Amino acid sequence: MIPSYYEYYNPVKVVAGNKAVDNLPYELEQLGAKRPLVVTDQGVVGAGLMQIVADAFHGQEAVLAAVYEDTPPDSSVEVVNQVAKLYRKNKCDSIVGLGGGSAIDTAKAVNIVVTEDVDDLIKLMGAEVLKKELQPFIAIPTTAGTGSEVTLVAVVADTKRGIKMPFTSYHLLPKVAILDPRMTLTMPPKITAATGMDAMTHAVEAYTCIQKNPLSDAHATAAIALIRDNLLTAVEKGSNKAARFAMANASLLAGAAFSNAMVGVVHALAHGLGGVCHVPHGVANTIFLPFGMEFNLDKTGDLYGELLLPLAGEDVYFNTPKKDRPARAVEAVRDLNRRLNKACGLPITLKQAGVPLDKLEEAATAVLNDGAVTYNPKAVSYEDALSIVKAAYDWL
Amino acid sequence: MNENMVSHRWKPRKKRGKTFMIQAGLFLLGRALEAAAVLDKDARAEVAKWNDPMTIMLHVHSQGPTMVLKKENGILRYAGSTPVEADLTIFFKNLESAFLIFSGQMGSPQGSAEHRVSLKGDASQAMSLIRCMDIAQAYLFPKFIAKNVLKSVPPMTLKRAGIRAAILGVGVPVGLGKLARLVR
Ligand SMILES: [Fe+2]
Repeated sequence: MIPSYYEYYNPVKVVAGNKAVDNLPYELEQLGAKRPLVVTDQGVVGAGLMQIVADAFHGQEAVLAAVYEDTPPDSSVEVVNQVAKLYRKNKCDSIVGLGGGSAIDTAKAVNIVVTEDVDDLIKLMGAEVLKKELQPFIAIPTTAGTGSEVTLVAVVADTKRGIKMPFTSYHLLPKVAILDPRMTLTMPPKITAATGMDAMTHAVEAYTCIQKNPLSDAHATAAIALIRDNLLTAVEKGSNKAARFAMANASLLAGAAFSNAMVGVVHALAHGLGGVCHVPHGVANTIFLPFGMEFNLDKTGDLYGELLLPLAGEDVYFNTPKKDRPARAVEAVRDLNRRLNKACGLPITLKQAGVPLDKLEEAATAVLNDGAVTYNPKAVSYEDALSIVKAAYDWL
Repeated sequence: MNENMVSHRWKPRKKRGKTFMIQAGLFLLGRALEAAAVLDKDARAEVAKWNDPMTIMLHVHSQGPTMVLKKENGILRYAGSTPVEADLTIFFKNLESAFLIFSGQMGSPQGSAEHRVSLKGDASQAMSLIRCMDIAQAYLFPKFIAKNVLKSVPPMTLKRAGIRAAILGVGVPVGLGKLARLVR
């Protein structure tokens, strides 16, 4: 069904496939830039991925003007300001985000600071408040899940005030996203699984949230089918280039879907829990996805029924009576969770994730203040959030 | 150039009726929020968590109707219709978008989903404000409208009927925040 009104925006040029990273200097030049600052982290450097990026500049007019290698897993305002200083000192003219969600989000936030020239990032917090065109920005993801390379969001922690500041603006979208199978080959199995389930959650929620539209739907279902066919292979056989590349594409598709359709209760739960107990985002989504689907079942069951096709494939879909498909879709996600747990020890209960029992109330309170609640098809109360968190604690 | 193509021939038609309705809706909502913050337990708990002092503005871009709310010394007050620099601002992109919401054709979640509103300020405080607006709207709207704009409508108990009567009878015409301050 087509909504009576919707908006869709994805202006990101996608450069994907064999040796794609070597096109980085060319793409920068196309944007009128020659002195990029690269924002990355120690994990990326240690895996030799930064070297691959550096090698791409051999024999090119564009030069690596500066590289920031120390992005922490949860980026903060201090880090952003430090990187912005590096940018100015080295007379950079563009930004490259190389890494997982944190490095790419940091790069986005740095872009805001160097463009708007503000002293305090908090003044620009909000949705769609940035007016100026930002500096040329290219994203190279090294995980397959966050979809940051095609989303308009950046989340940065303000450690002093103890809050997470979300920035959403169309200007934050990268000009180019580069997907190179070499960039995700070395990702460890558990991170592969967790980030892959983050992408799965993006796609499932994008398909069922109130902002869904025909374009986001098409991206979401395509992403789910790719994850169904490739996630386990990527986890069990990390060197499988085809599976890795498929997951990178699935992540981008799911990112484009949720950037335009938003996410719902599952992400609100993951954000709530992440803020209270520091459970990694992908792990929290893995745990909550089947429970969030179950919670929404009476409101959007038909949509979950439709998702059974990409989730479980033709045989299962056509052999399941229509009325049973929604519940079967939830079961398909649970089944994938169990298999991932067996393959690499991915936590699929809060207990396995090491969440203390006495933190559940605090997490449930935080859920309600998350913007994702707005877009969930069903109202979420404190009691709802608490009962989901409790149910997810030890369901095995 | 053809005389007919001169652009000054084209003047936007004034939308006086809609502008008035939105102004009235903003006033109603402002006073209802002020009253709910005194009378409704959930709204009171939400407002208690906001910064103090804090200024909130609802504004129709770029020169449309405006509503300002002020929280001072723990009390929330409707503070008129003149635009100010606020800590938290909710923008409606244009008059038609605001009208869809204030005429009860669409709730705030749907308004967000259709990109009809945007936000400046702390998103988690905005969530709390939106919960309060939902509470106020549940008192303001008759059930057949509330059902369309709210994701869930609380059942009408005797107590809620009393609060509704107080909001409509005293809160909207007089302003309950003012009274609450006098009582202190
Ligand atoms: Fe996510």
